Amino acid sequence: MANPPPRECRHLRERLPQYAEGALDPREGAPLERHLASCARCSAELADLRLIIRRLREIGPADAPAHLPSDVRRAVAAAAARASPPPALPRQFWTRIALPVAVTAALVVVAFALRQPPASHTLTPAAPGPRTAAAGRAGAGGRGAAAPGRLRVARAPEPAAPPGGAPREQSLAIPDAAAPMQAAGERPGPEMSYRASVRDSAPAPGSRVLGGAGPPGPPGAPDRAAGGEAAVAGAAICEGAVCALPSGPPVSARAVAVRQDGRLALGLRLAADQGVREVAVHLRTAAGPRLLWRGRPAEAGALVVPAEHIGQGPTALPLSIEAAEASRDYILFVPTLARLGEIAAAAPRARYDNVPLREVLADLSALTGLVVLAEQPLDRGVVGEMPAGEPGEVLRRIAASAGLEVVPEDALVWTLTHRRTPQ
Amino acid sequence: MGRRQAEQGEPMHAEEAKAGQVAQLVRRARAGDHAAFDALVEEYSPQVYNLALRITGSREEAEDCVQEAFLRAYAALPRFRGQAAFSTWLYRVALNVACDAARRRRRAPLSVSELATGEDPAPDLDRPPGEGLPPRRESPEEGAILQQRRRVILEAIQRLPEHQRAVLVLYDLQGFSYEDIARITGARVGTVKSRLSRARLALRDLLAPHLELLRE
Repeated sequence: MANPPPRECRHLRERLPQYAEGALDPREGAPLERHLASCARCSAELADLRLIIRRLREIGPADAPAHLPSDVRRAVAAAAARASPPPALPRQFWTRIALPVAVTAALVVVAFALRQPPASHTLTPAAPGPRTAAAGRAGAGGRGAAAPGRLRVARAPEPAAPPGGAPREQSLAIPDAAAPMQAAGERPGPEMSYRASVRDSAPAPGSRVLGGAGPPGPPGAPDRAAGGEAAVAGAAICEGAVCALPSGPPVSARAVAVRQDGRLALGLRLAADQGVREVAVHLRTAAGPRLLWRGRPAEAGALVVPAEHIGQGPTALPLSIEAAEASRDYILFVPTLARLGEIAAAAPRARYDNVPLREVLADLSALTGLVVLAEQPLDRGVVGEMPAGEPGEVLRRIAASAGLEVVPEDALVWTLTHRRTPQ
Repeated sequence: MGRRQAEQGEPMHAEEAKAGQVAQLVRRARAGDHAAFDALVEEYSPQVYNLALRITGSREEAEDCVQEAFLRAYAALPRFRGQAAFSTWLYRVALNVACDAARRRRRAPLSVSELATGEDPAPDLDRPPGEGLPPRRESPEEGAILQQRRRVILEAIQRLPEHQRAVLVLYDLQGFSYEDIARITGARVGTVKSRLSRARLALRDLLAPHLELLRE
C-alpha cells in the first residue's frame, strides 16, 4: 500500500477476516459496517479477503502416497519389536538434530583402527600395511604417534599447502586411554572402533583405500587393525578401509565425509549383509567419550549401501548434504557439532546489537578457535548486548547462558563403532 | 473433524459411531493389539499427511512427519488417558512434529523483505499424481491458471509465521473448528481467532501481487 492506512482502518482491520466469512458477532460487526460504507480501501481489502478465503477452500486435500500407511505400520512394528531404545525415530532424530547444526568443519581425516579385546580396551596403533604418510609417521612413532594414552589428532595444514600435503599433527592427551569407548551399560563384545578426527587436506596419493583385511590373529591376540586414514577431496568425499575382527570374515566399511557449503557430514558406509547390527557414534571430548547416538544401521544414521557400491569410489553414490537430507535410503552420520568458527573468514562485526546467537557464537568461535557443541539447531536466540571481556570467556558465558558447551577444537574426535554379530 | 462435516451436514450419529469405533481401537491398541494401532494408522494417516504437507511444504518431509507422529503416538499411547479425542491428540503430536520439521527446513526466520521479494527458495510444492489436478473439462489454459494459483497460495502459506500458518492450515485447509484448533494447539479459542485473522491478513499482503491471478 502506498500510504499507511488511517488509524481507524488499522483498528478495525483485524476484524475484517472474520467479517469476511460472516463469523463476526453483529455487535462487533456494526461499527465495521459503518466504516466500510465510507472506506473504499477497507472495502477493497474485504473483497480481497473473501476471494482469498474462497481460493483457500478450493485447494482441497492432497492425496497421501499409497505406500504411506504400510511404511508407518512397518516402522511402528519395528519400534514395537525393540525393547530398547524406545520407539523414537532415530532417523528423524538424526536429521532433526544433527544436520541443521553441523555447520562447517575445516577438514576431515579418518583414522581406522581396531580395538583390543574388551578386557583391555587399549587403543591399538595401526597395523603394518598400506598407509598414507600421516599414518605411517604415526606408526613409526613420529610426532603424531598413536602411543598408548594419546590419541593423534591431525590438524589442518596451512591453506597454501599443496594437495596431499602432510597435515600438521598434534597429540591430544586422553585422560584415560584405556577407557572403554562404549557408553556406560554397553556390553562389551567384538566390535570395531572407527575414529575420525578433523583436518583439512586433499587426499594423499594412494590414500583411497587404506588398509587391507589380513588373516585373523590368534585367539587372545590384539585385534588387527587395518588402519589408515582418509581425507576429504575438496568439497566432496571420502575414504575407506577394510578391516577384520580376530574371528570371522572381514567387515567392509568406508568412512565418508561430505563437505559442502561450509557444512560437514561425516559418516560410515557399511556394506549391507555383513552382520553389522549396531552402530554407535561417540563424541570424544577431553572430558571423555560421550554417546551421541546408537542404532541399527538399517534404521538410521549409518549409511548402508549395497555391497557392490563399496569400492567404487566417491562417485558411486550421489553423496551430498542435500542428498543426505532428502534421501530416504541413506543418511550420513553428522556429529552434533557446530564448528561455527568456520563460518567466516568474515571479520567480526563492528557492532553487536540484537545479533542472532548463532552469528555471535560463530564470530567468537572464529576468534578463539573454540568450538560450540549444539544439539539443537541454533536458529533461535539473540544476543542483545555483548558482555565485555576476553573473547574466549565471553564465548563461554554466552554459550553457557544458552545451555551450550564449549570445547577446544582439538579435543573433538568422532568415534563410530560398529559391532558385528558374533559368528 | 468438526467444522466441515457440520457444514456439509454429515449426520451426527455417523460421527458418533465413528468416534466410538476409534475409541475402541485406541483401547485395544493400548492393550497391545498391533492390528488396532494399524487400523488407526490407516484411518488417520491421510489427514496427518495433509496437515504435515501444508505445514512443511514438502511431501517428503510430510511423509517423515507422519511416520514420526505415529511413532510418537505409539510410544505415548500408554499415557493417553482419553481426556481428549484420540484424533485431537494425534493431530497435536503431528502438528508439533511438522512445526519442528518446518523450522529445520528454514534454518533462519524470514525477514519482511524476504517475504516481500520472495527470495526464499520455493518450497517443495510439487504434487503427487492426481493431487489438485484440474478437472478434465478445463482447457489447458484454465488448468495452467489453476495450478499457478494454487502454487502462489501454497507458497504464501509457507511464508506465514509458524503460529499463523498452523491455525490457517487447520481452519481453512483442514476444516477444523475453532474449538478443535484450540485443543490441538493448546491455545485459547480467542487466541486462535486472533491468529487466524492475522494469518489471513498477512496472506492477503503476501498475495497482493497475485490478486489478478486469484480473480481469474
